[in-house]
Amino acid sequence: MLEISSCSAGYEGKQVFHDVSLSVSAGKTGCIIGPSGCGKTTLLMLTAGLKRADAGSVRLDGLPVTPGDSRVGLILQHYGLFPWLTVSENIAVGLRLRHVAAAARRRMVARELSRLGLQECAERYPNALSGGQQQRVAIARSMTLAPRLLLMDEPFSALDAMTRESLQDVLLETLEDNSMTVLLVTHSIEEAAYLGGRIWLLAGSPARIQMCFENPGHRAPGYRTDPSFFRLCAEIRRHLERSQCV
Amino acid sequence: MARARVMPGILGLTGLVAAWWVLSVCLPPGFVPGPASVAVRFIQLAPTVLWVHALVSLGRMGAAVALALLTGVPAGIALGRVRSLDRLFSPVAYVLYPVPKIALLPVVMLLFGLGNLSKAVVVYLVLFFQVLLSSRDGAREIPSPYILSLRSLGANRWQTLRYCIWPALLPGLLSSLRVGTGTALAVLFFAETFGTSLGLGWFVMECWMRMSYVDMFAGIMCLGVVGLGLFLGIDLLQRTLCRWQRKV
Repeated sequence: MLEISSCSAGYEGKQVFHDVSLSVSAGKTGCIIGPSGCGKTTLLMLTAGLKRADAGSVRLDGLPVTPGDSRVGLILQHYGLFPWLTVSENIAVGLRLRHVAAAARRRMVARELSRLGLQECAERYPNALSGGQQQRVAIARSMTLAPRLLLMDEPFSALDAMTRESLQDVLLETLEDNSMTVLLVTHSIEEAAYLGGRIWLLAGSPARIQMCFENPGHRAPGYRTDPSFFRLCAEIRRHLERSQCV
Repeated sequence: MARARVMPGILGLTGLVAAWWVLSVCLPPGFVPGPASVAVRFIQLAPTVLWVHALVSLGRMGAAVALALLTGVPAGIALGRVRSLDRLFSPVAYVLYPVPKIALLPVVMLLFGLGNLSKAVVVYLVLFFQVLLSSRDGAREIPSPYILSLRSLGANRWQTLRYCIWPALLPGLLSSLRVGTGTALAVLFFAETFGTSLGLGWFVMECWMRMSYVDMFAGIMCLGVVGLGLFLGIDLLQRTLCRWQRKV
């Protein structure tokens, strides 16, 4: 279980968000939605242990999250793939950093390559891949380390609509296979409503949690065309428009 | 494939030789010896005299390159990643970088003697600032998602250096080495005209004094060959170490 309690943070004296509290139960997906520049990414960095909070705490299963915490996986907006490493090497890099033996590494990389349909790209460099393929590689890289918590920053924002939807399904399938907790940051209402069991609206200056939406129907088959999905999207949109920050 | 890559280069060099030949024919006899006579002299001198001078020059050059990389890269990374160090030392580098290093030759000779060391040091000074500044810029301009991704994967400082900073600055570093090598060779040539009787610089100047222009041009040709070898070596390094940069 992820618990963010009364967290505040900022840069160079300017507070970006204030008194943010939220929790995601083990194995569930939470989404943070909000206008650009409202501190969503900062909140994610804080949750990953890569930024220090001015106040409050972040705990995963009761223990504080530390920088480079092996329980946490992070997927960034532009995937964070290293252009100088091939797809296989990119997927293996986390395992190398943790000194996993070469044979085990090869086995785990091969498993993720086949699970995400990337076998044919294994020896290519990221600049030779499409955006969708790059995002698959980023997911595969996180999966090899089997994190308890997966953090995603606008993971599908740079993709065209069809690729985005198919990758959202790839993500859901992956989550079915590995029961992990997910916190996803997005500015797409549809994405939040499709993926998030609980959705928080972050807005204001400094930003605060303005609203929390429960989304019991998410992950149900055919949810994307379900009337309750559209109703939720409309409700989120109404609140989002009302709370646009400058 | 290989033929398609090499042919234009051969064509270009042929053009250069042709231009040289035209020049040698147009100028009064004795001013510029023709390419054929120089090539013959080069082939005669290469296995007997020139190889020693070329080797000595290459040795001085190699020592300077190695020293510039060993000191310039770590210093550049430190400046690129630690802002306070950058603020302290970059103005110093900017003042020293444009100073013609050859102007420092007397001081360098005073400090390091007349031997090989002072020649290597002058060339080192030329290369050091190129390497320093390109490493600094390379390290500074690494997009933060790379660093954040690595840190989230649990990388320590050394691993960040090994997996991110070093590969990211390598292409810029090799380019700066390529640019620096041209200047470095020119400076070495001049440095070799003092306090030594070895090296291509000395050989060319000595032939000039003796007014044996064919020998002199054979020496210049040798300098060109040495330069060609160095540049091709850097190209090869770039192709092997920066495979990911190839066009797809």
